[in-house]
Amino acid sequence: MIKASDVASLYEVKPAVSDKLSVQENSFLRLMNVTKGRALGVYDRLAYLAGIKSAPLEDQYHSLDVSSLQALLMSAKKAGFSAQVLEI
Amino acid sequence: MQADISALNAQINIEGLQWVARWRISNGRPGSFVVPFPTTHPINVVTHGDTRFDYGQYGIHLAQQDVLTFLGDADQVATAKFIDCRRSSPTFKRSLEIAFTPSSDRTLIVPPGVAHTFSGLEGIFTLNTYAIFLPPIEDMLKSTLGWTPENDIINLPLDTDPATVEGLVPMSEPASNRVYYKLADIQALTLANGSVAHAETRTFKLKSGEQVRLMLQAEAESPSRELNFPVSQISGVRFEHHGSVQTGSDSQIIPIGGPAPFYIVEHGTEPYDFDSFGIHLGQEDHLTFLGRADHRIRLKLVDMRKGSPTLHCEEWLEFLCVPHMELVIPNGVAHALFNMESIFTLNRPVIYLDDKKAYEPGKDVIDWPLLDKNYPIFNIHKNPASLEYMESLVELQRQATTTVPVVETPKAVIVTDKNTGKQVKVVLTKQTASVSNSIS
Repeated sequence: MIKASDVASLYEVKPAVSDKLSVQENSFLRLMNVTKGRALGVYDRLAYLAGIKSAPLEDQYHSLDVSSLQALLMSAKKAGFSAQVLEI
Repeated sequence: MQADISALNAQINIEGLQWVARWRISNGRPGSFVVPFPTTHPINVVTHGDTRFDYGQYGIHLAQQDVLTFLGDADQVATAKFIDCRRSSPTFKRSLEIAFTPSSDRTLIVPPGVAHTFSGLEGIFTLNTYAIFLPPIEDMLKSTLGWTPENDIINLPLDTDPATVEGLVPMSEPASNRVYYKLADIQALTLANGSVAHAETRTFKLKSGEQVRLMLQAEAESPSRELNFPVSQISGVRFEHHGSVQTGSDSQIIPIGGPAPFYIVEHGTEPYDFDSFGIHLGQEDHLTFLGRADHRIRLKLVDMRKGSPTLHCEEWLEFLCVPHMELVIPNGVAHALFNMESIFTLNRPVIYLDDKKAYEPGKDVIDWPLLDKNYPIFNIHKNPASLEYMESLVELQRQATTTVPVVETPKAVIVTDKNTGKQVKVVLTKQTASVSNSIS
């Protein structure tokens, strides 16, 4: 749980919230409270915060096996990628 | 300059997408400028290598506004393409293609939700002083966000028909400094051991017809070129690895954390050697050199710090222009750089204060003649500046950059006061021959 007032401090213009309100952490709030030990594991998910946008024109993905999700994940691993399913 | 910006903006048909003028001051030579960036926030340097570089797809952020300054050969023409993907935008689904040349006197702002891609960026360095936006507080207080960091790298194929794009809802609330500082901490921790590979999202169509969206990340290749960097004999002078995110064989994103405000020195295209040593008493230089990968820079150093174990040690160093390496020169070590033409130097220093807690960046430089071997000894500042101090410095710089620059970068010399016999520092400034830029 995290205090709503702590969440409000993430905003440049601090919104009004109740001092008594506490809420469950979501993915972004977990990120803002990440400790040194956990930081290494979260960076992949923070790509946007590193300013990463589009990839250069080097389509390395043509060779991946798209016959099924499992085959795709397996071929991605063989090609040296880590792969995370975002949505289906 | 303003006419140039107006002409560029006249081509733009997407709400919020715009060029803005960037304040800069003449560095005393044709084509050479000092360009301050008054911010305590982390920034990114994006490199694209020296051979043809095109992005292969559009990128869209929901939470990040790109603020891009393109540095490189002023005659090189690059291309940018955009699609407005913001559902509530008056220019939703509108597309645009523009040609532009790199320049340190203007910056492109790409709002969140606007898809963008660039081509012809080889040899160009992009400085991204991005802004971060958050969802409304009502959404942020929920345990599940409609937006997640994973979903903020949305890629679209280059042949996307603008009429078919789905409407996106970008973040709208500017983040506080706390978010930026946390980000800088995380970047420093995760990149401390070197490079990581660029992650990107890609949609695959399975044989079954189903679509699956994956985030893929290749293993980073370990950079080897820094192994050839020289080791200084002078205490505290060193090359350090920035840590970077590889985006291709010759391209990378290099986060530079701060929090000190930073500046770029554009050295121009004419032969450029320092004509004297520069010495700072309060500023430890952290220099990133941006230029061709085969460009060799020469550096002369002399230690002038009182009490240093290497006092008055002098040496020459030579090194290649590799952007993911940072040269650290402690305050009190005199330095002069040679062969700097066509190089941009990014300096994000660490600032130290004297006991009076006084520091003026523009005046914290002493020039010492290269051939005068009667080296002085300086008391350097030793108190690290606080974050609050840096934030107030940024505010002062922001105010200063609202006025038209009328002087060149100052020169400070050490001379003897005949009346007292004491050495004093004299700061010399010169009026600019012509106003190089203005902010209206």
